[in-house]
Amino acid sequence: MTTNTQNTAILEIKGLSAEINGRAILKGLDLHVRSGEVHAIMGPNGAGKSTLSQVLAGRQSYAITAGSVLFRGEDLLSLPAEERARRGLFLGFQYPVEIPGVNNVYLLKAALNAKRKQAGLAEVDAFEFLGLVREKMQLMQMDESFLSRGVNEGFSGGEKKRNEILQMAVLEPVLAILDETDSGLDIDALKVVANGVNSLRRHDRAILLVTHYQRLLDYITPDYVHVLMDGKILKSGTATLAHELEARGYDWVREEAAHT
Amino acid sequence: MNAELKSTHGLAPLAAVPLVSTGDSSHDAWRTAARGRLIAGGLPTPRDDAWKYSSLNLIQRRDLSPCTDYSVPAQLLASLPERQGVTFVCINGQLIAELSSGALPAGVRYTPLNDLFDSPIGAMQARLRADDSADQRLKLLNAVCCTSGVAFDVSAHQTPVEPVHLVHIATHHGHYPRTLVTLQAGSRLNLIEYYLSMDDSNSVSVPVTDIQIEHGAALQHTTLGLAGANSVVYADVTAHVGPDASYVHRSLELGGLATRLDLKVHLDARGAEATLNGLLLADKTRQIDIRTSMEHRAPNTTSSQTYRGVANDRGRGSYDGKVVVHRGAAKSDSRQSSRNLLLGPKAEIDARPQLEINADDVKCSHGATTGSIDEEVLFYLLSRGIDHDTARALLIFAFTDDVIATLTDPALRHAVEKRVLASLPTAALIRDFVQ
Amino acid sequence: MASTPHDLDNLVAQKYQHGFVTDIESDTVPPGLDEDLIRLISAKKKEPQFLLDWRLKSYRHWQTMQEPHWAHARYPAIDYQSISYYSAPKAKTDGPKTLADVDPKLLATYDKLGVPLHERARLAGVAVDAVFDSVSVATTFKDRLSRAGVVFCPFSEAVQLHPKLIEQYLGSVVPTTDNFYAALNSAVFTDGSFVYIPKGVRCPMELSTYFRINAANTGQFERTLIIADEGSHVSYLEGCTAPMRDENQLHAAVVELVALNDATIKYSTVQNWYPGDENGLGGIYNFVTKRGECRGDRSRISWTQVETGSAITWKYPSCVLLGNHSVGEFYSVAVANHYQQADTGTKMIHIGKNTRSTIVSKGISAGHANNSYRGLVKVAASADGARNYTQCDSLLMGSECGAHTFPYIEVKNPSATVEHEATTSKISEDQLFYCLQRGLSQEDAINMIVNGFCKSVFKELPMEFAVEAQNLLAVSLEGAVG
Repeated sequence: MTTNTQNTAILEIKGLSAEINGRAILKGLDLHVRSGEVHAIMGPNGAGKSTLSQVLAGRQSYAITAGSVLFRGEDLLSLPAEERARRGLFLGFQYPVEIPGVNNVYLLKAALNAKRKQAGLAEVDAFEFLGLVREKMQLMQMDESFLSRGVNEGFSGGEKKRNEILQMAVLEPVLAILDETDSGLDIDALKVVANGVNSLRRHDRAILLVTHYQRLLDYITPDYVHVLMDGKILKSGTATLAHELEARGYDWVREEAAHT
Repeated sequence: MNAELKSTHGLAPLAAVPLVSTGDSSHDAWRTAARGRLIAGGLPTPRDDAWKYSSLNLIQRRDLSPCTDYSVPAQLLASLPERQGVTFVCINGQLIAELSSGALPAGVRYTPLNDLFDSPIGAMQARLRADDSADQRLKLLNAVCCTSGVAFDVSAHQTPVEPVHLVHIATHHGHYPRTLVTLQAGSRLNLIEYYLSMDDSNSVSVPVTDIQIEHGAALQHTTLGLAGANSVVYADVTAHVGPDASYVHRSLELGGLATRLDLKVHLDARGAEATLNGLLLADKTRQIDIRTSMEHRAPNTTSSQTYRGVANDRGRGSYDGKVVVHRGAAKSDSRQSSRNLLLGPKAEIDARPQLEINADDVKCSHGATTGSIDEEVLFYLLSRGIDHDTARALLIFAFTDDVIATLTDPALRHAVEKRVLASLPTAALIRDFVQ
Repeated sequence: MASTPHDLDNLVAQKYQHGFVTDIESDTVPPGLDEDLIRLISAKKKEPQFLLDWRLKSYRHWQTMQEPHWAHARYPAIDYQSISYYSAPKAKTDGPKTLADVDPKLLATYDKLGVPLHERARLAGVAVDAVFDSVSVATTFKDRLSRAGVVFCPFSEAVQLHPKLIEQYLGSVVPTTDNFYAALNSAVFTDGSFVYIPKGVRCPMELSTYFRINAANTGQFERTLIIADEGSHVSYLEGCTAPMRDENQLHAAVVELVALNDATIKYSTVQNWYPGDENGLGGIYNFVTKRGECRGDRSRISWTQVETGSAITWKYPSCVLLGNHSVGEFYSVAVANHYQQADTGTKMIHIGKNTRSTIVSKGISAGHANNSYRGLVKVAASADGARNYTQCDSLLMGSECGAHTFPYIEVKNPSATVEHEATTSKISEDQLFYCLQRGLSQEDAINMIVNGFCKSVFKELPMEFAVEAQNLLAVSLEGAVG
């Protein structure tokens, strides 16, 4: 447990409600995340886990109907997606898109420079950048051919997920939201991805793991586990809660919540 | 583009044919005037873009006056596939009651066109007329010459299980059937049409079908082209598809000297959907020209087209498919696939898959391929010990299956398979594989 | 979609960058077209009798022809008597012999256009023929090229120096009777470039012609002829710009390419004629006939084009594949914004055995523009083993624009394989959001996605011009998103 009074608030979600096409998905969700912490959001299919990730990242197709989100004390919901990214919010997508013809490394360099520009830093030159990417690629056990390929173009499921973590490693976010990062991975790929994430745990960074299964949590031990059901956090606990969910399923959480 | 029209010999006799009164004097007057313009203006030539791939020269010397001989060619009827449900038989456009069989399903109303003419036709006029353009020239010919026809009307929310079969027999000269189909809200119908003629017939069939499918209704429409070796068919089908309604059209073009199908589908309202499937078997000297026009006129409309062509000997198959997405028809989804096998050194395949897209939030794609049998697949079969001719015949047959497999009626499917097999030079070799 | 209005405003504010006028004294003939005008042009160029006869024959045929009207282009009738058919900057001497003789105002113009004519300047590896209105004003690297045996000169000069080649090849690919604008061009063409690559020579540098319309109320009718003799190789690029004017101007060029046995011609175009303003006022009518014949076995002709300019473009660079094993290629990016109308595509005519063709067309429509691909793939009965692959993709940006695809595929040989694929879509929200989530601005994200969409064409451009093409694309699409 890394709780420490000196840790600062990264994410403060209060009473967040969101809907898509008139259908309410999030219904008054509260969540507090401090720097240095790893939180896991678990829940059954359709509970609103991906909605939460997308809403935090600034997807416009969701309408926010109530609540507030502070990101390092700043109103997150009023910022467009790219501003959130430049301020250090990273979403590892559940289904990373393919962008034909756009070079993988080119996108990454543009992303890094957009962030650096925001921070008032000089752009990195191509040579320096390549060195940085190569180093991170080793971490993710990715081979050279990655450099020359289009964004996720023709990547296997596992390659796409590794590419997401590579991007996270390069962009060094303050808050990383990893949406179902374990889905579609075989056990070896899962270990590589988990290893990558673990190496990116830092005292000034928070990580939000959004996952359906406990499997990923065998490799990345969270500080807190939350159960997202019916659009809210119904229960919170420590890593042991994940094991309990694995053993007992989710229904008991709803019953328990109904009694309190 | 304006068509350059040219007179043909075949139209001249029309001047002397008495036009049967429709009982509506304004419509009669329109028909007489249209006849005059038709004879004066003639029919389109291959210089007209719409007629580039099917030559009307074939009918230059044929008498196009409507045939009024209603004698029964019994052997044609015997060749029909086994049928369930009701069968209507029309000879030269005239319904022959004693040949028709079965009971109409509940909710399906049938009206001979003559009776429609008897009542004030006001609202029907638009459905019974055509304009002077090259595109509608043959439709105009039908509008002038047709003396009878049938109209089906399915009442709201009626969903008969049994199909309705409509058999069109042409004997000689002009044949002008006209069919009106109306599906009221929430209803369904399975309509199967057959075009038949004898091998020695010189008939020219110009059928016109007008379809309206209202809110949530669904029409399955299959046409089986089995005309005789010397017959020519120029068919025109127009369908208007309403909100959440669907239209499925399958055409199996397996006969005749030449066949042209103009299929115009209007997806008029949100949620309208159309699926068009076709098989073109252009062997001997047969010309088959399919021309589709798919108009997405409202948001959230979906269309899918699958055409398979096989050209052999001196046959010529063509597919000209146009998809138009109108401004405002957002979330339109349209797919078109035209695949063709070109098997004979004197045969020809033409394809024109066209897209005209005027809205941005759409998904439209088309693919067209023309080639011979896939050598890799052929090799696979050879490596499994199947001899070359058998493998080839098998692959041709399999190629047609994309469309044949969409036939839900087993008797119909069997009849089509038989016909396709019969057209293959090496049919005997693969009968065991496919039956 | 999140939008950032400020950035967009800034982008929209950037306009056509080559719209200036060079103030130079010109020798311009009065508007009007008749046989006397043709005799005048021919006399100014000191042409041999055969060429004058050829022009007059073309003119007489043109008078019998109808102006074509395609389904998807709309424009007011062109008055062919109101155009001036010849305009040339007044020269001190009788045609510049060296760069030193060229009017400094002209040199400055080309500097400003990014095509410096000094041989040591930016385009050090590229020989440039600079055509200004109706005449060529300078051609660079002539000496170096002539040492390799390569002829690269203004068309009028070629008529004087190589009349035999002109007589043999002119009109042999695009006959004077081919179409309305080809006939008009044959009658009144003024200048253009001529290239001859002798047997076995690999042209030591890129050749390029830069076309500039400057004078008002003129039409530009240039003629380009490239002959690649057996076993030779050449890469040629043309660029085009014009001043911003409220009146439309006509540009009707003819380009003919001939590739003999084992020869390769790579022809690239970066077309940036003035497209008209954001309300569709002004701009060039670009009605061009381009055709290449692969006459020799194993010959190859490759067309690459980036079309961003012109109010209306009609252009179908084509390949007639006569030689056995010959190859035709067409790679195209066409961008139409505001009220532009682009109608472009290709014809691949397979006649020889084992001929191959590839067509990659990327159309981008924005604003109120219409962009059409029109193409023909024809496999004659003689073309055993012919293969074609066609990929046509359209990208729509905005709900008021249109993207159209009109392919004709006609196959008469059973051993041929022809494949055609086409897609139409807008930039996917998912792709855009992915880029935004990585911190890119919407404009950068769109630019990146659009460039990715065009990548398979850009990679076919000579390196010197690929970057220019990408920048041009970005400028052309400004104001297209939001």
